[in-house]
Amino acid sequence: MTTLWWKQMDEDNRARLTRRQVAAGGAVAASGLLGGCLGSMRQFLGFSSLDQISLRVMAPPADWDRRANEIAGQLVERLKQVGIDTRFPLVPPRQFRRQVLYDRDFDLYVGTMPIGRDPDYLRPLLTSTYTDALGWQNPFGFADISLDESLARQHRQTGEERTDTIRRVLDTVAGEQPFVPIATDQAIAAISTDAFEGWERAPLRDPTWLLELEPASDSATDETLRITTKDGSITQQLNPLVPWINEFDLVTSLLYDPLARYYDDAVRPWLAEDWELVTDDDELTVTLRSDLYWHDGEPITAEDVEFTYDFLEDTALGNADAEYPAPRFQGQAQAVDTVTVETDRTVRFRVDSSAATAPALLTVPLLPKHVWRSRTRVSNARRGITRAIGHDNTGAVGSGPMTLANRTEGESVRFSRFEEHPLNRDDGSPLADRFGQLAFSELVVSLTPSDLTMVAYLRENAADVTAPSLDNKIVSGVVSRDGLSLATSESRTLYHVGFNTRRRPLRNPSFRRAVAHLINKGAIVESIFDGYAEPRTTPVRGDSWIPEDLRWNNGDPEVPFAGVEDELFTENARKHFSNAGYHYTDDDILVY
Amino acid sequence: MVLGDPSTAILIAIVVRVLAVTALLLGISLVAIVGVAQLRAVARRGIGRQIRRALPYFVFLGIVLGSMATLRSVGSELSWRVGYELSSLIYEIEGGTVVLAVQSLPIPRAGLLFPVVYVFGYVYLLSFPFLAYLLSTDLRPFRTLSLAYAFNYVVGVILYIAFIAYGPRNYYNLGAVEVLYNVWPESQLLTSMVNTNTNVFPSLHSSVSTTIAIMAVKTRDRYPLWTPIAVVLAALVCLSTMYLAIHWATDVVAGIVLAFLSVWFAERYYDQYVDLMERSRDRTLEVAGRIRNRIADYRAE
Repeated sequence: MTTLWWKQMDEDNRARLTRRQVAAGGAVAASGLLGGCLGSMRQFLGFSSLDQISLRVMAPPADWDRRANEIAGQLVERLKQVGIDTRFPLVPPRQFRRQVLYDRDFDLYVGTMPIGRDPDYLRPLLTSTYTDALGWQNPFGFADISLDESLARQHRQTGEERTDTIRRVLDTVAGEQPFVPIATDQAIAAISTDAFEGWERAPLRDPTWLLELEPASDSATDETLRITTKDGSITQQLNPLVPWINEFDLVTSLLYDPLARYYDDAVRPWLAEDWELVTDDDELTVTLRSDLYWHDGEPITAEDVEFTYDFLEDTALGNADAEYPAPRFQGQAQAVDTVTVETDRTVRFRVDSSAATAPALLTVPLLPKHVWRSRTRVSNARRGITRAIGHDNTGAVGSGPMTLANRTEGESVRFSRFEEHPLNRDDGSPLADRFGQLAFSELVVSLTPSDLTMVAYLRENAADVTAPSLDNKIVSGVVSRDGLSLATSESRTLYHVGFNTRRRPLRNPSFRRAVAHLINKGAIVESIFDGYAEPRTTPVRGDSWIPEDLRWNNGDPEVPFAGVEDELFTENARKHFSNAGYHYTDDDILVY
Repeated sequence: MVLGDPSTAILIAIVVRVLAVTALLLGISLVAIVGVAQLRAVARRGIGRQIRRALPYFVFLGIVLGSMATLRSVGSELSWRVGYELSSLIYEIEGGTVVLAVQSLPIPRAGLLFPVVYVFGYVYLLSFPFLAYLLSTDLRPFRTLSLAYAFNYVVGVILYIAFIAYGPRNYYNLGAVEVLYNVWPESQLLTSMVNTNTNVFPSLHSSVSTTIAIMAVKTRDRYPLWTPIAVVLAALVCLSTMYLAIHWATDVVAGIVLAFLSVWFAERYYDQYVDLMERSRDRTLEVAGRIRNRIADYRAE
């Protein structure tokens, strides 16, 4: 492999007085000498050839995500320090989705996204052909043809070959920094009840978290479990096809079941009884469990499976002039070429995947054909939204272990156990043996305004457990003052800085790298997360994927912080920007 | 709201607590500020007549506040579509300077004082003058205040829709200490029900309090004891919004300007306003009378 250009550049930077630096230094000196004079000339002539670089850093309000808010605040102050005119607007999740995930109308943001269990999730996230799509499909507008090619290739590879390709992908991603991975937080939940056990058996934001619970005493299986959350979206809509993704998502974990789920370290059969992959023929034959029912009593058949994949690929079902794929699952749907119904319970998939990536294609939520086939109307052609994607689906008919009982918008949602589900029926299958019947017969999710009120609900016995998203800053009070217990686990929620690489100067990778040099990931984990997080250099979990020289090494080896602890060495940081091709005026303003 | 829901119980408990404290404060103030003699006089004349005189103004206020509350509930969504994003500009100009300065004022037990002033003090300050002015034979201050109130709310809600603004407590890196919700987390259930966190410009806490202080100064001959109380309490309410990092100094200044405007407006259009209210009352009574006659006729047949 040839030395990548940015590696080369960083080496250039390290060597004293390379030709490049002399040139850059000369430019800075020249602009310094001319700066004041140029300014007034520009004003006099009424046009400006050199503008101060200005950026808007978007972040959630502290009420919603104190940690992303604080990371952003730090970044904003440092961007100002290096001479960039920086504004700091706050946006709530709904507005974030509108601006970033729909309209792509942003400069940079600090926020969260779930990273996939498998690096294959980078395919929809970074492939250039997705830049005009919705949701978490290349919101950054990043375009690199050779990366496209590697991402497509790894999907069809296995073993060491695939590891190699993924390492190359991660090398490119770290070099180009379409977004800056910062840290994955720990999921934290406070618990006030002792009616259940097993809070930490599965990662707290995993779909199987609540399925792993057991009643503390043998007889009590008709208990109600009350969760409190500050995320109101579940009281407004129950659509598994919305274009955004939260790692903790009751809709796709309790209401809608897939053919396969990830648990015990692998993708394993869920509503599927079994599958067989003939790699040479790219064929995946899936057999459904027997006696499966939708929540409205209709049987689940192979036809529903066929419908689901057809529908995810085009939610207009061919009735419109273009295809309208469901953004959230487009990565999976596109890897499935055809789906054929063999018998009532068997389906044959023609796939474009390897043994390593094919099972994950079965993790999309199954949709009942008789409910969704009428939701094909295009509601917003410009944004690419059909009724299926924009629908609030408040009468959700799924197949999961719980069914919707009732809902009060902005307040609460109540689910009850779906007794026909294989888990609750205890049909003697390995799956039912593994999880057993759901430990509670009712689940109430109630909405509160903040983390503090979530805890107050527990203290006042208005809830049993908080959503697994508690702010680490209130953890000590929860334990000492309120006497509640805690459950924690690793998460896949990645705090990151996202760049809109469609815009100037963010389309310049050296500029993005210069911004990344302003972030001290280690200090963020220590002070903002109080250690309840893990710093990230690349957007994947699992060290086996990450090239040796990209692993966390008391700092980010690729874009190390241009300072020490909380202090940014302004001169060093500025050098990164001037090396990226931008100039400083004599009053230290960064211009282009 | 689902009755019987334990979360509703928490909310009811808070509301009951606020109402109970306010009622207690009002009771004490009536005796101390309005005075026993005047209370006796009102009792002798009968309070019913006074309420009848004031009724149209209460109806007017009810209609204005009710429609503004409705507008506010849809306003947040509207605001994100048409409003101007103001908080990043205030952050740029003002930053943490004023809020941090207020937080470091050498006021003893400020951490307790300001939350109490913000919640209980404000509700008391907002309700007492209505009661006091209602018990006076001259209803002019009462009428002026009701119009000034309405003006505050209408302009406030229009500005809420026109500007999206988060308060300093939502910019965590400013280093302002979160006081209110740390001391009393449940109070956020109440505040989040009354308002959303993007509505901070202008500070209606400041504008309404200042309006009352201005009126208190103007009516100092009638209730001399009330004037210093209102002025001090209004100043404390303004400070508390910054101490609790709920509002920027910009919001408070805008609130104070709005207060002066509202009193000016209420005095400027007092005659037209009273005229309108009295005509509405006559018209309503006329219509009511006609209906009553109709019913009587119908019965007679």
